[in-house]
Amino acid sequence: MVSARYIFRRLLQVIPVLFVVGTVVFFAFRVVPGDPAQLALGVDATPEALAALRREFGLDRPLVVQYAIWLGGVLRGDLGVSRLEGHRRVVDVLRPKIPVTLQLVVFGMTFALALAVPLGIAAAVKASGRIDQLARIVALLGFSTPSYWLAILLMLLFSLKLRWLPAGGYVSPMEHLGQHLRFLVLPVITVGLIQAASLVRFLRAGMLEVLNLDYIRTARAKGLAERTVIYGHALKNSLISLITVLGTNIGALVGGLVVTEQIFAWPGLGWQMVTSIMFRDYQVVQGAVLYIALMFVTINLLVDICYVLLDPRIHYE
Amino acid sequence: MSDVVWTGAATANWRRRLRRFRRDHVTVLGLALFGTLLIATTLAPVIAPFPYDRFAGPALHPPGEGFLLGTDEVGRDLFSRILYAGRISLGVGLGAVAVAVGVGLPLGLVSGYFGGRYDSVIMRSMDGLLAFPALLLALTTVAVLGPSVRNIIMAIGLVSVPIFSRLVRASVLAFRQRDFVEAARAMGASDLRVLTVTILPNCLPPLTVQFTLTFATAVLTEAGLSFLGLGIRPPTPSWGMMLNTGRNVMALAPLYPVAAGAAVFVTVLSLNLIGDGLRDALDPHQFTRT
Repeated sequence: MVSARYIFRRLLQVIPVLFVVGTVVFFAFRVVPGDPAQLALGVDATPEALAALRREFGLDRPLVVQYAIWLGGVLRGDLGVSRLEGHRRVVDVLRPKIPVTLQLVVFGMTFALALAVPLGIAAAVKASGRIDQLARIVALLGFSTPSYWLAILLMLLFSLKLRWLPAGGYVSPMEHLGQHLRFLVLPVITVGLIQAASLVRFLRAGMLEVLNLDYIRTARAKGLAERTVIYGHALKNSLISLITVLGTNIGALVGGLVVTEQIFAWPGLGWQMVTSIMFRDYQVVQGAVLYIALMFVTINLLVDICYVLLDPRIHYE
Repeated sequence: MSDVVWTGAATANWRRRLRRFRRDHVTVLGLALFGTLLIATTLAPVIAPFPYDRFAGPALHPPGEGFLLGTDEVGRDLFSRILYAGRISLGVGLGAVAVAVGVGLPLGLVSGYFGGRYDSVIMRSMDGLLAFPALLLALTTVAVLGPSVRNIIMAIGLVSVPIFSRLVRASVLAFRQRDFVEAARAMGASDLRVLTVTILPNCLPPLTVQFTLTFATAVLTEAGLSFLGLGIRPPTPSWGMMLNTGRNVMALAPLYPVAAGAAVFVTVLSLNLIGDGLRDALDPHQFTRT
């Protein structure tokens, strides 16, 4: 079983990772050639406005002092104040975006799994058969398709031609659940299809490897139904390789969401980040990077816990 | 690993031959696609019917009347622009791979050969880099450095450094204790000579596979950055940017974004096909398995 001690220790490991990410991002935005205030306000800003901005963000203090202040703030859950967004606190700007992004991650992954698991199993069970060929082609195409292109193709088909679904936007589920779901469909398909491609590939390979092992032969030899052999014996062990891929993929997925959210005007973390980069609202960018890193690390933690749950031989001490 | 379904030796053999045949064709298809792209973009000034930066006709002219794919939002020929954009995309991809190899290869060599403290410092920093989603890292780098072709190449290259250093390190570790390396050392070869002359050539085969795959990722990332408006700047044409502009007019000219995206897709697909083929050719183990 997963011991509480292990989870606690893994949680402790999260802290240095976030610390390093935060520190790198902090200094990265301060070694930028040029004056951050000038960068933020543009070339035609008056000296008074520049001085005011520097004072407001403490840019007139030594770098180490700025860092200490920033770090102290982060520890208290204060990521600073946005330069735009009505001068709200960065935390308040970003927090509502998290569930919006997570929703895409969760639904996208669910869709990908619903597609990839049956296809992967079918492909492995009858290797080199028709379904296997189909799975290979799907995987290869999915591997090479840019998500932004897929999104545009889907929009052209479902929004412009068939007029079934909106091309982009967001309605809160509190406001109108049905509408909310309609807006959700295309982004989820975009995210899911591309993820499914690599999942199929790995699940098939993992499944094939397991199907060749002795215990599967034993299971067959003792007269178990093929269904039981595949779903009861083989699948469970292939899930371990699937979880690994899932973990690494979700990292790429979170990164890729920046683009998907942008296309579908989906107001999540990625969208906010791009907007903030464009308007040089670096406090928000820093915060967004930290949040995404936190998400990433949490997912990795969950993956590691899943390992232990799936394979009792794995111990973390 | 043994073959998967044993339905008798004869069938297995026949299947393997069929597979090899088909696999080769897939690689050839990849090479042909990529070769065509390379030639078409290199010869863009000769092939392109119009200059990429001048108005050639009315805005959003549908395909036809000399405009193979129609015109863009200000009346420039789309086909010509896609050809010219390809030079940037492929150039950035190649540059990024060069950066990734240039930095990753020496790091991996040092890490694997000298081990100890070098190894842990280098590999831990690589883990740190790897722990970050590639596009996000590239995005942040470009946000910090500002978008220019050079910075984009640096950003995308940097993201791929860990893959190369890890790969090289793994190969070095595998060869370090081998007899021929011992022999070279016994004959008085310096560390530098052992590394570059004795070990390095053996590390190259797996690198070629990664080379093509990283190239593909780099093209995807560049297009992604440009799509977000954080990559190549106008007036230089780039596929990502054309996708973005095309998206805004897709109700009027659906072919515009579709064609720009198809260019990225074909490039990435051809590179993946070549990479797959190379992997199979270099690793006889995997050959029989899949």
